[in-house]
Amino acid sequence: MTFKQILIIQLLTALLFFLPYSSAVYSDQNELLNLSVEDLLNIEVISVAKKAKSLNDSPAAIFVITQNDIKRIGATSVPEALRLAPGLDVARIDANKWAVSARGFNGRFSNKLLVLIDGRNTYTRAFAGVYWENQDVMLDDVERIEIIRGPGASLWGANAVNGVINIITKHSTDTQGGLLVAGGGTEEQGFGAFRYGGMINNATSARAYVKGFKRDKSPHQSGSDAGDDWDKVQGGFRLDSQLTTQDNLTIQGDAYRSIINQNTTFPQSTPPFQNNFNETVNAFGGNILARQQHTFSSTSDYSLQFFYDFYQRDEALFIESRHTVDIDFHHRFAFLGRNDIVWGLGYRYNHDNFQADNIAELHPSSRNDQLFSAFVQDEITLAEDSLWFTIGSKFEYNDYTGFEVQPTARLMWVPHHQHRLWAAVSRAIRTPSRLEHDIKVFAFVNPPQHTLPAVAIVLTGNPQLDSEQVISYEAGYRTTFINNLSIDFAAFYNDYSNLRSMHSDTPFLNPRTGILERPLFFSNNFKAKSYGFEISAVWQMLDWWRWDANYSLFKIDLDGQPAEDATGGRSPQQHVSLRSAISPMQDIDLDIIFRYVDRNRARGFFGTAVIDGYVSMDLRLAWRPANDIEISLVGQNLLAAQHLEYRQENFTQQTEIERGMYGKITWNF
Amino acid sequence: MLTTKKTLSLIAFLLLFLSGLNQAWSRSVEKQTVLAVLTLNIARFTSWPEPAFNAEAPLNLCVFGDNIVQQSFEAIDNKKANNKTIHIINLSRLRNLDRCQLLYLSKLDRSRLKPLLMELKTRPVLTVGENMEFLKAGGMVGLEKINGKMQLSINLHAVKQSKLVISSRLLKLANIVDLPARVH
Repeated sequence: MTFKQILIIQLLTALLFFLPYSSAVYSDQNELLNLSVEDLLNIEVISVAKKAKSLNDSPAAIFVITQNDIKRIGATSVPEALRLAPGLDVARIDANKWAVSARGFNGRFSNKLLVLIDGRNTYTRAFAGVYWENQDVMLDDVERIEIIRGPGASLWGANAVNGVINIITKHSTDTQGGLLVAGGGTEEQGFGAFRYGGMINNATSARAYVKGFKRDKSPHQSGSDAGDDWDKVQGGFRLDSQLTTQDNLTIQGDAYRSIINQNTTFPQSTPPFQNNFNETVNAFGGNILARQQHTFSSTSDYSLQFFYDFYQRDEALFIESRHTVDIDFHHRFAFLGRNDIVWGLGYRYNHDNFQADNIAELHPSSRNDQLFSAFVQDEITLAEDSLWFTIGSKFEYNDYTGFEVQPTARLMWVPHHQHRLWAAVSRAIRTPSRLEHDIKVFAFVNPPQHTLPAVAIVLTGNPQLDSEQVISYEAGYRTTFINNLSIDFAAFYNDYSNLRSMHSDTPFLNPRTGILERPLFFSNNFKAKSYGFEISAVWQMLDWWRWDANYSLFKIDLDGQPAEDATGGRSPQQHVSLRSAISPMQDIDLDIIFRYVDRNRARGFFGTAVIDGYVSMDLRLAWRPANDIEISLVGQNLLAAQHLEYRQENFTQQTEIERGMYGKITWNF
Repeated sequence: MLTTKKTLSLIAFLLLFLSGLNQAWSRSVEKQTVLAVLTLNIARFTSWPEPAFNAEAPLNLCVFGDNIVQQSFEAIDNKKANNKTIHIINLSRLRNLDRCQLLYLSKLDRSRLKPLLMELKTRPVLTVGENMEFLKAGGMVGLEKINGKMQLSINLHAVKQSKLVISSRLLKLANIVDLPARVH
């Protein structure tokens, strides 16, 4: 017998052992109906994490990652948790960098995904994306992560082009008491977290936390060390107060500091025309947020939110600091019986400063930007409990491209409570980043050939750069028709125009360096059409055994351009994930996660890097010797000693991700 | 170093091993199923004031919750409660609640729960929820899992305000609280 045959027999035998128990669960309900209340109050009851696929009846491709999911896959960072979601492309570039995007266009500097943590926008104007290594939360205090694929711009504004991620932490009344987490292993060399929550008075609860970790270096393909180890310390708090029956106040904040090591390659004008060195990046920052919520009635409320966010990164490329102040107002009310209206106003102020004196410069080096926004959305009930039409738009005025309109129209139809269908058409834009606007950077230098001198490619910002735009058509179907199985399907067709492209100008001789400089400008000449679908299913096979499966297909047509010429990152055509969550006993969990990621290309100053498709597996085994203590053992990326997931667009070497194991203990008190 | 083959066989063996270990689970019942059946029983022990609905009309049991919650209530659709047929209405939005005689509210944001229960306060709608917070916010019946068993709590103050009557047979089994909705 071959190995495969043996394996199949083993799996089948295991299944046969399980099957008899499944019938016991199904017949329960009929027996229960004949029981008296006394008996019902006396039976042993268990809670099963039968996750609901859809949060509610939103006419959008929504996926929810719960606290239980985060715990059971052994995620140690937000991007790792995001790997659970269909249609998201999550790739680890090295120990401290990530590429995350929805429905294509991935890269470290991907710019079409909006990420919010408790209502705080984590987008940086610098490159119109997210520094994932700056964003962290106390994972045990996360209530859920909502992932919306497709445009969310009509509510959230520019940059919510291909998706929105909402990380929502628990209310502080749900985090009372202490929590201590400690662990370590091969890649996750050491980590710890401590949180304590209490009541300040009858109406006010609060918590505070501190966490830290150290992550090991990754290797290059050859096995040599990439020098990308890093560590981080972060602390924060949250306070929730019920001021009156109608008013709630939330105040929260975080502060962090991390030491990030990286191997950097800069071009230079003299032989050998490139300079490779190790640097230590100091990154620190913090934020504070306050939100007041006033409730008029169950159909009417408003919220007023303020946040301030600061970060600084000291990199060889430049030292960047950024201050963001944001004020946001939302008001919801019912109107004429059938309309549920939400409208809001927002203002954001950004002050940044770039100190660049190596290969890059920014003009001006410091800038103040403002953003004014307003939105209105009306959900009209066309038929009670079955048909809704939503129409709305965001209106923005920004300092880069002026006035922008981002409308959406959505329809939700529930013919039967087990079948939900929706469709949407939306327009979203991505405003230019500060770097696209104002940077001048030596991207690379071609060494002299024969009689030709060295040519430096100088990437040059374009103040006339316009917003990228998409018109997106989406449709979806959710069903729970088969008992214990829920299926969620979403398909999309995105029509992009004004996408960022590059065009080169005539080279000229720089008399100072004696080399030819060829400027490369950003422009808006690319068009693309992308389409695909995502399907996710949850099967609660038994009360104690659940399967989650996702499949996504993504295709892009770059308007006749060969894929190699596309600027920015790309995404694999297919993703598959299969997860099995087993609790054979109430105090033991076993989790197995398989992922398949299709072949991909990364594009950058280095040219094109081909990333082979890969399969990876994570395993987690947890045991709760007492109610409040959990000991777990996690293996990550177990199928290969090391593999490549992505390559950053510029200035760093290709780095691979290693197999890792860690142990963890969690104590609630 | 673990090879792919070895890892896969290890998993298969683990599954085989685990298949013998599910005794604890097969005896107990899943919570959501019990919640639905308990809600049916609570309806059986409740009488609504006369004008709440006419004699032939069914008893409308409105369910607000995710697909798992809705699925669990399917089993009690069309069952009888004191000569009335239970009719399950799965709510997608918290609108048009006048048609409900019983409202089962699965998890709802604090900020929305309280005003909703305030508005229902004097109407003959029996509100059933999942924990003590629900009663504190002005809900009538709370079903909470405590030490592996369901505990029934009833907020008498809220029940009386709505002119509903819950049978003393049920009250005897419940943990009685008498909470006016908290101002703070």
